Amino acid sequence: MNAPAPAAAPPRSPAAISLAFLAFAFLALLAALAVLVRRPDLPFASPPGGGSLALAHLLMLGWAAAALFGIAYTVVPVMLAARLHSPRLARAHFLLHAAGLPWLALGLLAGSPADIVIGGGALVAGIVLFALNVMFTATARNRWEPANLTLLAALFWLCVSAVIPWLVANPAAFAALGRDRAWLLAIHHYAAVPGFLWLGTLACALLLARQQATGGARPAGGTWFGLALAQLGLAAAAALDPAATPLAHRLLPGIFFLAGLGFAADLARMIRQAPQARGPALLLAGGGLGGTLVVFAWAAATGTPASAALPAVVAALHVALLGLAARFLPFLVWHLRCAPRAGRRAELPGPTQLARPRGLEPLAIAGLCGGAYFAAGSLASHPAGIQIGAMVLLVAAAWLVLALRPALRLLAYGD
Amino acid sequence: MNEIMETILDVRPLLAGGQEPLAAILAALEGLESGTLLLRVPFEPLPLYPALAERGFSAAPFRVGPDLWEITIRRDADGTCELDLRDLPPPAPLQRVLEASASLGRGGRLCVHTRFHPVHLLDHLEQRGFECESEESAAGHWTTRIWRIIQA
Repeated sequence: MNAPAPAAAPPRSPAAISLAFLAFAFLALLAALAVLVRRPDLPFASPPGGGSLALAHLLMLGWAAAALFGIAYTVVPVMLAARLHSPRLARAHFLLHAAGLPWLALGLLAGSPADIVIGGGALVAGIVLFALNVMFTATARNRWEPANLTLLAALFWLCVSAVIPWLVANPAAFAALGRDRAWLLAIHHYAAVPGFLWLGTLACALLLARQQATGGARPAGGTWFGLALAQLGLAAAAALDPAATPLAHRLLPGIFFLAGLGFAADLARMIRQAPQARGPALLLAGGGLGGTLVVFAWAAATGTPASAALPAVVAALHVALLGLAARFLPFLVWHLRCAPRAGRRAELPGPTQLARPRGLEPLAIAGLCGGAYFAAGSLASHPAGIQIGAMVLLVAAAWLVLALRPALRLLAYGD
Repeated sequence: MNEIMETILDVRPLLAGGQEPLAAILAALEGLESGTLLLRVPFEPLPLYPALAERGFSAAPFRVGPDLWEITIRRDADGTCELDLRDLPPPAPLQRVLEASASLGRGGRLCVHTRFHPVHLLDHLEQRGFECESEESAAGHWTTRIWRIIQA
């Protein structure tokens, strides 16, 4: 009972980094949605101007990638059964990401190549640090589990996506490849959306579901099938030149749809063993991931071009990430604020109490409706749909912050 | 999963009636050579822990709700308290271990069984002055032994 004085979060804990990434992601999401409400025509600008490029990167790297990094920094060490190799590298990654993204967005907005290079370089350097940190954390035993490999595949495609703008900016480099700019940009889009964002969200969902499945279920055949098929689809996207091949508009979404079914089968099996995880957050995550399947199926059936289908996939993934963040954030707060005092201060809430805040049900409904409007607006190239969807998602994101008030209040809890 | 015999003692009615529950707890512990006593109380019984430690028992508290604590009490020949937390979703095992470690006396040990390597627990335990070692079983579960660092 002679316990030492309560201490703040342990210095090696990656939970603080995760929280910083998630807070940054929320700010980026709110900013991007506010811009979309005001300028719903931006995603349809042809050719895409500085504003639409800045907005796309704010959503993809500011919100989605930062949220995925936030979840990964805490979940990946558990799955790899080892402490995070270097919290210092993780902090450097966050600083590079937080500084690089606004720099890149402003550079895109102003059409300044120097700023784009500096901002993009900082982001790529941060991603390299993340990849190195994960690689050094990985033990030989757990490296080849399908969920870990899915995350690795997502990182690979993020790197591919990051390299292509450098090639596009250097005509001599891509002339040597014998392909044109549109082909490279199509690969950039496929590597970023199904390659990184979709696979990354699925990997985080698989890792979280595996942790919560008390019966011991783990990603298995469905994930292997989905991962293999997704890689096949992405390789086909790189080989087929989707911008110039009408068949690709049906074939590629069809492959991704089948891959998604494989992932969904494993996720459903694990969630069946996690009754405590069921609730509005799971509804959002499941609805978002299910939405991607609907969009892939729709695109495969109708031959919708990737320029319309991929933004709809992104919209569904925003909803899924909102659900994953709603589930994950209270646990982070508990790790940071309550765990150091567990067993010493009886008045602090437990993780389960924090994870079930009141008022998340309307958030789930609003999030699903907003995502559906957003996706439908993208598929139909209709700015009004995007505007309504962004408005509803903005309300849902603000609602999430309000619903998580008890957890967030704990962050102000003094040491 | 837990094959150890468990006796349950709910002292909330005694406390509600204004009675001191210590005598009832000690009486229940008298016959407790193996197995565990699950004590249900409306608050964490902090003064009880030293009394238990003096008698060679270890206590693992767990806060079930705002008005209910469950204290797992057991006697062990080498002073090791064993917790099987494989059925709990994270981060509940982390919470249980931290609460149990708070009542661990000098020389006491915790042996914790979890589904995953308790990576995030290690930092908290180090900060609290504990040492621990983890190993993976053939079945894929993890066993972590925790003891307090005794400074000379």
